[in-house]
Amino acid sequence: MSSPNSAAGSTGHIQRHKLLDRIYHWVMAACILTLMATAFLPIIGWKFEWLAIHWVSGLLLTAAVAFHIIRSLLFQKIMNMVPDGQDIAKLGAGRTGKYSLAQKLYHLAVAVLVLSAIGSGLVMLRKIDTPFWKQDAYWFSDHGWGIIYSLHDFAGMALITMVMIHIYFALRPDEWHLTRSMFRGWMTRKEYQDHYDPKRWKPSDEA
Amino acid sequence: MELFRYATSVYGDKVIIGGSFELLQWFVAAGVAAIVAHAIFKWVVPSR
Repeated sequence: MSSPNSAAGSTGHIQRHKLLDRIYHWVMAACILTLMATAFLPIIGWKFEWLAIHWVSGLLLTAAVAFHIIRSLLFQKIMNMVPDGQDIAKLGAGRTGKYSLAQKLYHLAVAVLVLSAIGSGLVMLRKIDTPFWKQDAYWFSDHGWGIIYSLHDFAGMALITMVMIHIYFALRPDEWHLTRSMFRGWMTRKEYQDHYDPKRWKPSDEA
Repeated sequence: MELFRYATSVYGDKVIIGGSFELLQWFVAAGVAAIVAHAIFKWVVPSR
């Protein structure tokens, strides 16, 4: 195990997000924003042919999330994102592990909402014609379809709230070191020392 | 304000067809409220 100093290497940069993870983040962002625009703009009066863009974006998001889950489980330290006792004990102490308790809880909430939207959305694909299959509206009863559509609708609307909060934090000056790291992959040694507890996040330990 | 959207089935029953989009404005309002609350908190409580 090497120290954070050695992880910084000769550049003085601390790696926070690898290229694959940044690509995943921005693909997910593009998919979510496209899905929200195609879902809600027609509802508020902006009429256009939204369905094909919506389900294709949904399938792309599904593939991206599947990639993220496999990568997280097999190749990354998933416990970095799981709330633990230290998050509670050191609440308000200033420096955190790689992710703060608020970030972990936010991630958990988004995971639940996105997986709900994906799960219900994949089932809803059965009700539309695509180049790959014909619609079959009899998979479920009317009541069953109503539950599935409601789950999709509520997850989608709740994601609006979550995206607003996410963008707000990304734009806050005191969080710019995080926003920049999602573009560049790294943060400066000073940003690392100011915000993180080296006992809880050792960048050199990252897979 | 309704929580769900409803339609009438071929048998004349009232069936749920999805969540009510009247709630859209409330989800946006929740986002605005969270942002304003946090901004006020950070303004009132000095950073460490």
